[in-house]
Amino acid sequence: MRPLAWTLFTVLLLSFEGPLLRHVDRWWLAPDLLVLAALYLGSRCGWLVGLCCAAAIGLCKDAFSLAAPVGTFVEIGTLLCAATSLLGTRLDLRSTLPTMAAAGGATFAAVGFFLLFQALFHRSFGAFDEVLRAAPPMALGTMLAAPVLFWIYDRIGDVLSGGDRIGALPDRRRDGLRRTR
Amino acid sequence: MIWGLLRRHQVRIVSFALMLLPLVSMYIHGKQRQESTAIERGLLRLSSPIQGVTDGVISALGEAFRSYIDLVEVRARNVALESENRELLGEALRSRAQGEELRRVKLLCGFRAEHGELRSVPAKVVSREISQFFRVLRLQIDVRDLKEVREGQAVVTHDGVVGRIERVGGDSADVMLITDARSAADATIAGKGVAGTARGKGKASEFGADFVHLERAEQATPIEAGDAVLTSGHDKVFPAGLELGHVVAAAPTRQGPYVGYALTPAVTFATLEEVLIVVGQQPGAAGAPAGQPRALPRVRSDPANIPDG
Repeated sequence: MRPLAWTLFTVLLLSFEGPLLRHVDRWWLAPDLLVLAALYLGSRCGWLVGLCCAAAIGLCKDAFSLAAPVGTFVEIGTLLCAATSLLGTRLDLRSTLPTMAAAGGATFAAVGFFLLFQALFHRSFGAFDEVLRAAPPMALGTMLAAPVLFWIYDRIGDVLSGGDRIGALPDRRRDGLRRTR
Repeated sequence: MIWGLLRRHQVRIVSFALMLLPLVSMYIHGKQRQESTAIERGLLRLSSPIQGVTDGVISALGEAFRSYIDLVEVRARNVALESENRELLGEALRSRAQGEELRRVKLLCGFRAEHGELRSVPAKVVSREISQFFRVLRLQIDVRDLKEVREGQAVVTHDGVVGRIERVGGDSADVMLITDARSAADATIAGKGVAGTARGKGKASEFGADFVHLERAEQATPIEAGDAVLTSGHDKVFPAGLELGHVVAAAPTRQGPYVGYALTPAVTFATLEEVLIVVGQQPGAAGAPAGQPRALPRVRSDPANIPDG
């Protein structure tokens, strides 16, 4: 239930992001919600649930921004969520500063994935330098927004905790995954 | 067997699918194409209404915010304009008061120029008697003119006689109005052949005059309402020819040889601001002894002071 709520909340934010950025001049300071959601889902949910939710959010982002080939943000979200989940406890996403640092690094990683996928699959894409220029401020915006968004996610989780035990399942699954590896 | 295999490796399979399918999708959708794919069209159909709604919400919120900002600015401007308006209103009132004062001063100056033989000093009315039994004004006099002001001197304006100085002290002087019950002034009506005394009754806007017909010509020149009663100058206090008031009604009361008339003052005491104190006569002025004002021609009267009828 909680991953679903987090996903829906992120999708809601994404749906507002586009119209909101129309009214904001400094659009490049906008946080990358997909990156933050992927980090949070990867750290709080189980492997499979996290991947599915991150993919769903990526698909919504693909839907809201059809400029990139469909699947780009699904892949980015999935990869980031998987990486976060694999890093596990080595990545501290409960304290403010580590969270911000992880958000900044993940944003650069997302930009790198984006450029890679555009180079591989989107032949007509030519704005590599613009994306690179926009990466640092976008990372800054994402870093600043990370503690806030994580706090909201936590509050949503607190509200929904009780009848929800989905979060416990992925830990076992993750253990299983590690064992199988 | 296959189902079991799938169940056993479902995590890996789903993970692999989630990683691979987007790559395939990117490969398909990254190509140069003439038209959108079904997936793109589907996503567009799904996302457009949602973004339409959110855009409406954002626009409405933005509009509300802008309206609030405008309202705040309007309120601030309103406060500034109200302040400015108060200042301008104050300035306008001051200007109007100054204009009115200037008009009165010009009239007084005209009076002084017209009666150049009189020496007079200006004074400002600062207070009025609060007792119901006396009709007295308090004047503030310029220090330079203080030494010339004496008790008993006439106080006049361009409209006519105000009264006489009753008391002098410091830079102030009290004026007993002609309507005061203690006041009396020799009076006449120009062209009517009458002489008498105008006496106060202690009323705010009425006093009386008792006349004797000097030439017994009452039938030929009857006294009528509105006739101007002037100072005769015989009392050696008020210069001759200044307006005391007007006859209210041609309904006299008789007491022996005297015929009494009710008068209304020529001066509106309630709005009196500046007056002239007649302190004497200019040296060399003919027709009157030194230090005493000579008889004056009739003062131009203000039509506003003449009662109706």
